[in-house]
Amino acid sequence: MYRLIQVLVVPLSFAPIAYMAGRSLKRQTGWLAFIPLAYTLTLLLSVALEIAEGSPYLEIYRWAPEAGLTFGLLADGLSIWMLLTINILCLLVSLYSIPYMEHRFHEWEHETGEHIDPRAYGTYYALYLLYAVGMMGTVMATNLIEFYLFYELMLVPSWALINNYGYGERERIGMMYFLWTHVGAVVLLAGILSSYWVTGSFEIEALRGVVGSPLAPWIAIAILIGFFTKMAVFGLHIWLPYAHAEAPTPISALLSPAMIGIGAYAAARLVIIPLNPVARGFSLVFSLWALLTMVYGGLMALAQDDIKRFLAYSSVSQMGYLFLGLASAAAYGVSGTIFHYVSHGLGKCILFGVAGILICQVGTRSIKEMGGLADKMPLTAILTLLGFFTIGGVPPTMGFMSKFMIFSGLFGSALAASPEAVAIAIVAIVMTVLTVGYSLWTIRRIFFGPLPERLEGVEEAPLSMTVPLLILAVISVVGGIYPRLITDYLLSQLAALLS
Amino acid sequence: MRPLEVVLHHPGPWLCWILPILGALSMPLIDKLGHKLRDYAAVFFAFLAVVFAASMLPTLLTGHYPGDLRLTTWIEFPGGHPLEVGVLVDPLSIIVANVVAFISFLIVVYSVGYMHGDPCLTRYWFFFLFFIGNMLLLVLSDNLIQVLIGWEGVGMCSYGLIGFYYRDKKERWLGGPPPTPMYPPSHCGMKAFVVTGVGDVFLLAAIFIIFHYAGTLNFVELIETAPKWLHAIAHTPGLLSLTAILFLLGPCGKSAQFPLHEWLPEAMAGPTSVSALIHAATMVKAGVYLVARMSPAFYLGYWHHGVGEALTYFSAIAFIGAFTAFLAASQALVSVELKKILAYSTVSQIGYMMLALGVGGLTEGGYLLGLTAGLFHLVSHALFKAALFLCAGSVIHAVESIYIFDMGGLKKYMPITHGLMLVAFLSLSGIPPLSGFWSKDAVFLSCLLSSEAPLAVGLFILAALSAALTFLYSLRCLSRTFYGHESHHIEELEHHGHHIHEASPVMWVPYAILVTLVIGVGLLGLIGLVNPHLSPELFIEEQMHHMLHHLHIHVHVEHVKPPLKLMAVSSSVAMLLLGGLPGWLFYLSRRADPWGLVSRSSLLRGIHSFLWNRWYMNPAYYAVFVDGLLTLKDRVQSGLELPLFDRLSDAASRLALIISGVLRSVEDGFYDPMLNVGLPWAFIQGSLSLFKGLEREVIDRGLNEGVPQTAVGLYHRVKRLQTGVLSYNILYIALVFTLLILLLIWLYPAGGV
Repeated sequence: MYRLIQVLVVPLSFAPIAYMAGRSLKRQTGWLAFIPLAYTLTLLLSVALEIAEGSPYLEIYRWAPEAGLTFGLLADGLSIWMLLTINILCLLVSLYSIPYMEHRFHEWEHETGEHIDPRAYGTYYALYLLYAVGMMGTVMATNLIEFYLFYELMLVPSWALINNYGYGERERIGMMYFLWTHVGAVVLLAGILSSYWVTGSFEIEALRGVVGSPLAPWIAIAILIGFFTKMAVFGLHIWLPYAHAEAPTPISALLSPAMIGIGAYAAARLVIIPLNPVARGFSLVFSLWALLTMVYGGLMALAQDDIKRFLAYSSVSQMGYLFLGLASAAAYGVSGTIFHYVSHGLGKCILFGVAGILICQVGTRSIKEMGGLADKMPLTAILTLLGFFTIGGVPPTMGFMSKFMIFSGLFGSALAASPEAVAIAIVAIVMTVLTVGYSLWTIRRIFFGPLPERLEGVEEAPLSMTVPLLILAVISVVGGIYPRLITDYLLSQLAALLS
Repeated sequence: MRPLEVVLHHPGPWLCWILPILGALSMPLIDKLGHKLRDYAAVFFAFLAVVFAASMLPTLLTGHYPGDLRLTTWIEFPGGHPLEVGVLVDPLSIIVANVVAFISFLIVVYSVGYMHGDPCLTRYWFFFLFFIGNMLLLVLSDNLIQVLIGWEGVGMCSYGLIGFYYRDKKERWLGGPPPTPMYPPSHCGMKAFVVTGVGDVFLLAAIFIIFHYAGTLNFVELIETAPKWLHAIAHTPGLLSLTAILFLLGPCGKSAQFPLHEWLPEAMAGPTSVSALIHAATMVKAGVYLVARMSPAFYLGYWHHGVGEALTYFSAIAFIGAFTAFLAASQALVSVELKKILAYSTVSQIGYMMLALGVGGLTEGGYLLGLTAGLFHLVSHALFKAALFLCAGSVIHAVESIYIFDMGGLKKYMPITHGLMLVAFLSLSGIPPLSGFWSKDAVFLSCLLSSEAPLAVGLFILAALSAALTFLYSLRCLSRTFYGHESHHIEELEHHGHHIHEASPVMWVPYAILVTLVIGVGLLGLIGLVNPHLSPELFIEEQMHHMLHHLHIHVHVEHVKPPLKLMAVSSSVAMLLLGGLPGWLFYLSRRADPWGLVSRSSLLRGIHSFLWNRWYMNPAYYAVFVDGLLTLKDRVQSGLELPLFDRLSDAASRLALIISGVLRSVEDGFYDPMLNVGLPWAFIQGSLSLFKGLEREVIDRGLNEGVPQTAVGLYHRVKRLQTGVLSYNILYIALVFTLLILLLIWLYPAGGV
């Protein structure tokens, strides 16, 4: 009862508290973000156990009954994994933020000579909680207006976080981020409104009614373009490297793994599942586009020297994988997309965490200036390796199974379709070597080789930074060894939804 | 049966890979208790693997091996077979698992001496034990996914151990001497992982295709249903051939076969014990194992059910094997690094195994013999090649150089190592009656047996020539290392008071045991001529026959006619003479100077540089894939990302300025100018007004005026409260959203839950 609404309301109500307490609690304000998120995690876990028995978990509240609007919150085999991932990442990153933001503020004071407003901590965590609520609300929403509301709520605090606490030209980049996502959202809105015109309802369930209408492909495209902007697929990606590189690192560790992937989830929820026959028609074009995104992101990642930009482009490439699963428009592939969202979330969060550690401990973001650090920071090196294995799909990490499912779906639908589709599938799978390539190359440049003299004094990061990442790595390995935890939910749910 | 009962009932096939993995994970903890304890614990865990692997051996003799044991469902696929965790205990896996476990154990013991004093031993033991566990997992798995997991696991260990000396100190670099490029260990590890990774993704592609049609990945089910899915794949012309080739590329990567063979020579950057275990005796055989494992399906498909394209599997691997055997043997002739000579030799010998497996399937009657020959050569090669590497490790340890021109005359300093290495080399060359002679003979015989296939004759000639080359490079390597005069380098070492001495017993005993086995297997082969029950080859053949029988494949066993056998033996001898004669001239009696010969003839010089540059394949791969990729990424960055997408974004921000200007002029009438916050704020307003519009659109019509009115009112109030410092505003944003949601939801349940 009331569990899912609490998932939203509890962190939401902690936001003003965190804001007000920030002045006196300073760095410890982070715990005010940690507590509500820990609480919501237990709620979500209890919901997850209930779902395991079969039926989805739905809470409906009255909203605007006269307009036929209800405020529904849904946790099913699909959304629960998104929710758990977002919650776990937000929870652990809130801990990670404590040392990191302190470092950031010190650095700031050092750079500008100004004294930092003691409220800065409070503002940060208040926004942080709002951001978390926005993401989880988007995932749980059952009607399009509600969805859109949360979709925007996800955007505003993250913009503010970049704008306030970011690096470099943070204001300009914040705006760029806001603008791109917002333009995407407007296109999405156009799609949503036209679907209302066809079906007369804002319920996501009702979207199935669009199939058969002459408008169906256009609605699908409009909605998808909105989400593709969020996912930063090739052509719509330019905002991502800037935003993710210049955001404060804990926020990068949420933007990249948690937020942009929501685009893929939403695309599955709003288009691939309800408009499946339409989506199938786009299969070939989408898989080509996805392939392009994978390769382009990978190549651009290779070209980067700034570790955060490198990771950002790697996210573009990984979004290509999620896209590829969506393109298959089949149960395996879409399950793979959601599963890979989880894997990529864990892996990329570890990697951005590592980037933050390097920023704090080494004091640079340039890969060229690093080298031989494995000696000095063995734990960080192991974390990096596990992070890269997770996104690269090397067993025993979760990434192996999630990529396996994506490609299993892709090959399944390609073999049933055409030789061209099979060719694309084979090329796509070969291109996964690119991920392994840029991963190992980066590891080598950062951690192996001789240690430059100026890095002699570098020390391993404090446990408060490494332990959250270590927990993520453990989850990744456990999920890789026993993927049924996740796949059973996903596959049965998707098979039911797609049948 | 419940999972625990399955394990308790047949502990061997489970514990022999689980325990080393647990051992690996416990290494960092045991290290805290003491370094000595950690080393002994590592040896102990390796020993446990031997014990549990050996516990499967008796079933081999009785013939009642347990077969496919399934533990639990790993993944459930709707509409497909569930994928179960399981082990397949049959003669193929038992034999290979025992070879792996036994040699691993010996090399672990050797490592205690060889790696003594290394500060990073915990990492070394972790990867080493993790490797043993994963390799045994790979061998014992009953399905392709589990194989892949072990496969990637051993790949990871290989990566970690090749790059073990990740500090990349100059003396650990491989290659050269300049101007030939030299590679640091971390580069070599990466190269190995990426090149084998290329093979893996092709293999994965094939697995997906097979899975799509077969609906299962369990080996037993795959073989039982082979005719069905092979027919289904063959329905699309060309698809089955494609699948077969994609599948084979995986083993080609792992087992360093053409076209993915270029990583193995660089893999020698790791400690020699690692090269011996992973890059000679075990991991690189994983490909051979997998090819053998899947071959019954394709055999059944082609010979019993007439699926024409299934033959591609055999002809492709036969060709790859023979070509690689020749390619690598020729490169071993000119290499100047001791370990690299052995690495080329490994590539070449694995080519023989692949060849045997391939030609076996080319005729109906030759299959059993081919399978036997492949497996027999795998076992025999594992023994002598591991011994060779361990000897090489001792030599390199002693002379502190990887180059054979820095050695020479070591016979008197290291008599034991010399004697053992000599026997191992002779076995590699196929000198009777050592084990290598019998297994190579079996490979030749299976080639001759399928000589009705036109391809087989050509392949046989390639294989025979490679045998001659093998003897030649073996003699060269022996002579450069142990005979003749001491090199300048050694004299200098001695001069500086560094006396070269024999390896310690903890090092030489392991390879002495291996060499004893080489001789033992060889003698058994000899006795087998009289008493067939004792012949190792016939033993393996019987086991394979048994296994195929269990899989319901009734092979027609062709009786090998004596003339054919005689032909195989005589071609063996002829090739030994062909290789031995120049070898004797150049390297033993030193009547002719090979280098003088080469430098006098431009043709020979050309051949030499062709071989020295690895048939120009390695430079070509670097030029295309490494430099190509690096150029491409720069091109994409400077040609597409910066000029196109960045500009697009700039254009978008200019558009934003225009829009914000419009918005501001509209709002100027109502609110204070918000210059302090700047443009982004204007966009928040834009989005909020959008909400407002939405709310009107939706809710006004619903006559629910109160809520949005309040919200909008609040929104206006918030704006008036703006003071100019952004952080103040944040609270108001927070409040707006909190209230927006709380009010809009109008929190009371309307049903559900």
